[in-house]
Amino acid sequence: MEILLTQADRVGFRLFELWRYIRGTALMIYLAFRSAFNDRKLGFRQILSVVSAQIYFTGWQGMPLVTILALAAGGIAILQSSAQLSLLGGTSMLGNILVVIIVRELGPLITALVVIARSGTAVASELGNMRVNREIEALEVMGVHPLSYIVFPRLLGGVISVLCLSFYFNLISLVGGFVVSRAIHDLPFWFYVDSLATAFSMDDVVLFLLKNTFSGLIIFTVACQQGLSVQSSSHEVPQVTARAVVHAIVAVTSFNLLVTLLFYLNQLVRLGIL
Amino acid sequence: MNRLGQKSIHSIAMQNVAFGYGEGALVLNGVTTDIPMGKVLHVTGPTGHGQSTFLKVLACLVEPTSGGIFVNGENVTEMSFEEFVPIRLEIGYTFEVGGLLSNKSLYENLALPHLYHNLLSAEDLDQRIHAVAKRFRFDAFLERRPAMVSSGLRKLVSTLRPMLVNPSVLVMDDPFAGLDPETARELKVLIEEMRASGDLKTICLTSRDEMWPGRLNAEPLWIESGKVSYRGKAA
Repeated sequence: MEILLTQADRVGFRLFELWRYIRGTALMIYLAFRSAFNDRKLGFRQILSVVSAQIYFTGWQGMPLVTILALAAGGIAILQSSAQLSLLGGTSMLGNILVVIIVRELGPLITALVVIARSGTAVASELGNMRVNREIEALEVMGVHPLSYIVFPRLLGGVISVLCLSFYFNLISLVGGFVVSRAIHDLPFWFYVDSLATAFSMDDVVLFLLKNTFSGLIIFTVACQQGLSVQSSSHEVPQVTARAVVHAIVAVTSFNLLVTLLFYLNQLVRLGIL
Repeated sequence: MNRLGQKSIHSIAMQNVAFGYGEGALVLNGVTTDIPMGKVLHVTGPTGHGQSTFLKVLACLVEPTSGGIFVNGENVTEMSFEEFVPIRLEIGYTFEVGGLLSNKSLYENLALPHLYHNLLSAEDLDQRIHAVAKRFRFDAFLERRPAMVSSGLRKLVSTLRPMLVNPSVLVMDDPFAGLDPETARELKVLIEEMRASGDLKTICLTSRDEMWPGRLNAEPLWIESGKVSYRGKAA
């Protein structure tokens, strides 16, 4: 009985900690947007310059890696699916498969993982080092709100970058898919485009915006929160960076899974199965 | 409010202030004192007994564990960040170490508070920064980032940054440490000029240089074991 109570205590403590973490994260997002709104007449240009720097680093500089991964993902998806489809004689289903696999699932997930690996780590370690070097204190002394000058631009720039990168990923994947399907099946370009156009629906746009916007928000909020949690010592920086990666991966994959689950439940409801 | 939107400061007082880092022991314990406006306060005492922390609390860089800091009679620890900004711009704080933004050039570091708060036009700001850089002979390094210059120059720039905002109160944590004698002398001259012009009224500082505060007729404030031991003219 005592063991059971101890276990219940542990679970309760973990849940309480998780709730505190989520509440702290939500509060940071709110305060970042609020302080940026309050400072809109003051350091707006300064804030915009940080937003553009973040977009440059996360979006623009992330493109080469995303290109390689997107080409590979598109090619692999076509190779695997066409092997199965040709047995069934269903090449016209290629568009559907690409939309389901790439646009709905792999695009947001792989983009998020690339952004976590490149920018999430960079932001967490940068902010951690800023804390150690007393740069955060320096901003406060200058009357510059760290949340509006540091966190808000990274959240905004991060979300914009993730949306753009994911769009780019989808585009390049579909090109990669076409190259492979052309090589294997000698598929005409317009047939491929038509197959994709038929497969796309408004739901895909909603899913795209939902998954990528929140993935970007999650990644950069977690990175900022972990980075700013450094107290004073430089040995904490790699620790918070590693923690930011783990937390962001768990949160982003869970979120993607949840959205997909809700999407298909909704589909079942629409079809009258549930 | 003055022309910069900064708030004039008539009085600063600490009441029963206690402060400790994290869960550790209190560094300041029950400090009650007022800052003599228009004068120089030389915060001194044995090393590691809370002088720098006293200045940090005074500049509202850290929130006291208990007690209050009263500026013009208002408890600033209860103010929001936005409410405090006009007062903040009137209280300059110079760091003992660090404090420069590492991803900005020295020029951008000096310009940031002005650009963020629209304190000066771009031309005036440019002139002011170049003038001070020329005076302290680092105009050739303005475009360099902090990591690309000596620690002495980093210290000088982080000390000059709040001074360029023309605060009426300057809180300086060992401002001359790490500076070469010539630069330290020039910095002292600049501070004296600012006081003579009437812009800078009050200075609170820690300094290993005992002579200079004495020359400014500074009032010593002895802090030992986190408490104000005595205040007044040095024995």
